[in-house]
Amino acid sequence: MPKPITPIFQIQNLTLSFPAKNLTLFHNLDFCVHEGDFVLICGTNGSGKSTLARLLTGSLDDTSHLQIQGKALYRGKEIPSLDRRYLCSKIGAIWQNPYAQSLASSVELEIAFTLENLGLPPEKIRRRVAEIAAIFGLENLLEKNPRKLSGGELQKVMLASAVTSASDVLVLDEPLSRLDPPTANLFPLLLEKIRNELGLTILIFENRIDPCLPIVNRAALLHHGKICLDLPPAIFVQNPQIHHLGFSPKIASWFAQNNRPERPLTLPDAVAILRNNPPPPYQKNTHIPQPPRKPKVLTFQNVIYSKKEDSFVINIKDLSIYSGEIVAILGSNGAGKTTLLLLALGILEPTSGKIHRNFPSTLLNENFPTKAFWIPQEPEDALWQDSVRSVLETLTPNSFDTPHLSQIISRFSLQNLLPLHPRNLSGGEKARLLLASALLAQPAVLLADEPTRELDPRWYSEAQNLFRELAAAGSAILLATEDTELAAAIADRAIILQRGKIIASGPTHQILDDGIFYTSVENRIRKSLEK
Amino acid sequence: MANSFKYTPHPLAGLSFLAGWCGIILSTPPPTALAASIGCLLFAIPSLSPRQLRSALLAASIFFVIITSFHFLFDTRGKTILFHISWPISRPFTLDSLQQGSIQATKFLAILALGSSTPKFIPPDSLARSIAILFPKFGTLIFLTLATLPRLLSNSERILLAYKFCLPHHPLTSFRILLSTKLWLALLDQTLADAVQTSLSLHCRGFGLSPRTSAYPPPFHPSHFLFLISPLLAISLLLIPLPKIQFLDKFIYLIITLLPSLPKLSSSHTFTH
Repeated sequence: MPKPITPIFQIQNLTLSFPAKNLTLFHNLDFCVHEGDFVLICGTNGSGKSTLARLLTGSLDDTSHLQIQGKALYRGKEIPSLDRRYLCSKIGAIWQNPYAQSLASSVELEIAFTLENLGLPPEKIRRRVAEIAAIFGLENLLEKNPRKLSGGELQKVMLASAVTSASDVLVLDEPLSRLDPPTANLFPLLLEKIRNELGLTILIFENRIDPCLPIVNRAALLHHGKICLDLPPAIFVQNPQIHHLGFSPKIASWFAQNNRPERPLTLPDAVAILRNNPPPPYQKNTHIPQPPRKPKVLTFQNVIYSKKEDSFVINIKDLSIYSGEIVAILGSNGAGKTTLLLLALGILEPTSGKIHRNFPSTLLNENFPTKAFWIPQEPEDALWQDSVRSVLETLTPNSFDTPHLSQIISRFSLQNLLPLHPRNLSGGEKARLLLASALLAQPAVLLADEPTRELDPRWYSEAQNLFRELAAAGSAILLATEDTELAAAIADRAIILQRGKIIASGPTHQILDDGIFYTSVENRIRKSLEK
Repeated sequence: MANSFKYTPHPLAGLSFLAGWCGIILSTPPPTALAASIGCLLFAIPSLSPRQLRSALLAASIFFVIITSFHFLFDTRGKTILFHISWPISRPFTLDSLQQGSIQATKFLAILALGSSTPKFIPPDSLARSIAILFPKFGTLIFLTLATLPRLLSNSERILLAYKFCLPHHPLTSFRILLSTKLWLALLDQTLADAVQTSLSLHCRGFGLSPRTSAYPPPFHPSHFLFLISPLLAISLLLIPLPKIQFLDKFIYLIITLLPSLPKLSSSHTFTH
C-alpha cells in the first residue's frame, strides 16, 4: 500500500493575533502546500503575507507579542519545534529588500553563505556554488561586491543562495516589489526554471501577479485573515472578487474593460481569442492635438548634473513642463528619474546649465508655504511629524476642522490613522497619506517618485483620480514611474530616460505606440494582432 | 575560481591590528597615545571614500568640540590658568584642561576612523564569522552592526535631501533644530527597519550554527604578518628603556605615527575588493 503523501506545509485552524494592538491577523486559517506545487499568494496591504512567510520559514520568533492558536506544520511536524539547521537545509527564503539581505563581501561568498553555516566541507561548497552560478548565469559576477550590483542582479544572487542550500521548498516574500518591470517579468521565469530542473516546491507571496500567474499552478488570495480563494490561475482570474479587489492582471483587465467575457493570462492567449473574435478596428491616433499652452513652470536648459563619485551624468538639453499637464518620466532603475526630480525641486544643483522655476503663486493653497510638493520614492523621507494629524495640520495651520480637510481624510480612509505615528503605518498607508497631503497642498508643481508602488489596486485607481484633479486645478505634475499603464491612463506627455538622457519625448499615446516594452497592454495586443 | 579573501588580510591578523592599536591608544599616556592616534588617522583616512570622509569629518568635528568643551568646562586641573570666573561657582579655566580635552577628542576620533575603515580591510562577514565561532550571539550582533553602518551612511544621504526640502519652509532656528532631530531619528528608524530584514536573512541562512566551515579557508599570506607586526612593534618599542637608545628616544613618536601604515607597504591591492 503506498505511503500517504504528507503535505510540505499544512496550516490548520490557525489564529494569530497581536493582543497589544487588539488586532487579529489570521482567523481560523487553513492552507496546504503539496510537493511540487508552485503557489502564488496575493493580498491587500497589511493582510499578513510577510507574517505568514515568516511563520512558514520558522523565523516568527517574536512570540511575546503574539498569540498563536492552531498548527503550522512542515512535513507533518510543527515548525516551531524543528531544529534550525534542519529548517535551513530544507527551506530557502527570500525577502523584499535584496540589499538588506546581502551579507557577504563577494557574490561567490554570498551564494556559499548558508552552506558554510550548515558546515558543509569546502570542496562540496565550491562545487555547488559553481553549479548554481552556471545555472543562474552568474559566473561573471562571482568576484563582485553584491552591494554594487543592481537590484535585479542582487535578487538573482539571493535566489541562487537560497537554492544552493534549500533542498525542498522556497518561500519568497514579495521578491519583485523592488525590481523594475523588465527584471520583474524575467524573475518568475527563473523560478520556473529552477522548479523544473531542481524539483523544488515554491511559495511566492506577491502582489505583482502579472508575471507570476502564467507560470504558477495555484493562485490564492489572502483576505480578511483567511485564504479566500485557492484556485488554478485560469479559474482564479475569472473570479469577480479578484476584479473587485483590483488584483486582475493587466491583460484580463483590458478584456473586462472592453466588456468581453474572456480572461486570458498571457498575450498569446489574448491574441488567439481575438483572432477568432476580433475587436473593433483600431483607429490609430495620428492627429496630435495641441492643447492650449499654459505658462511654463519648469524649464531645463542644457542641464548637466554629475556625481563626483561615479560616472553617472544627467544631461537634459531642453525640457519644459507646463502648468496643468501631467508628464510621465519612464525608464528603468538607475535611468536618472529620481535625480531629475531632485534637480527640478532644487534639492540638487546642476553642475552646468540652468533650471528656471516659474511657479505662479495664484495656484497655491494660501495656507501652504511651498510651491512644490514632493512625494519621495520612500514615503518616510517626507514624514517627519509625530502623527498623521500633525502631517495634515502642517498643511492647514489655521484650522484643522475644515469641511475640505474632513472630506480628504474620509476620501483616503485616514480617520483611524490620525493619532498614529506616520512611521508606524504600512507602506500603502504612508503612500495614501502623502497623496492626501498633496491634494491638500494643491501645489503649483507636484513631483511624484513612484507614488503608486506601494498602493493596492483600490488606492491605485484613486491615485489616478487625484492626479487628474490636481492637473485640472492647474498643478503641473512630474511623475517618475516604471508603470506604463499608469502613464497611459493619466499622462499628457511621456519622456523615456536612459542613463540620464532623454531618448524619447512626446505625447504619451505616441510614445507608447512606438514602444516595444514601454507600451501599454492595449498596444501590445493590437501590435500582436497586426502581425 | 577566484578567492576574494586573497586580497584581504587573514581575519585574525586584521582583528589583532584593530585590537592592538585601539589598546595602545586607550592605555598609553598622552604623547604616545597622540602619536598612535595620528598614525591611525593617517592609516584610516585614505581608505575612506570622499563621501565617507565628509560624513566622518562632520561627526568628528562635532565630537571634537563636545569632548574638548566638556574637559574645558568641567576639568579644573592644571597650572596655566587662562581665566577665572566667580559665578555661579568660583573656578579657574586652565590651558591644561583644554589640551587634555583635545587629546581625548583626538583619541576618540582615531578609534572612530579606525572603526569606520575596518570594512575596507576586514570584510564584515569574515570579521563577524571569526567572532561568531567563539561567541555566536556576539558575532551576530557584530555582523548586524557592520552590515548596518554602510546603510546608515546611504540613508543619511536620503535624510539630508529630505532635510533640504523641508528646511526652507520654516525659518525659525528652534524649528530647524527640532526638524534635524526628527529627521535623524527617522534615519535611525529606517536603518533599524533594514536591520530587521538583515537579521531575518541571517536567521533563515543559518548564521551562528556550529560547526561552521568556509568555502575558502582564509590563507595566511606572509604580507599579513605586517598587520600583526604593526601593533606588536609599537608595544615592543614602548617597553624598551628608551634613554639607553638615543636614536629611538628622539624619533620614538615619529616611528609610532608611521607604524599603523606599515601594512600598506605590502601591496596596494590589499585594500581593494
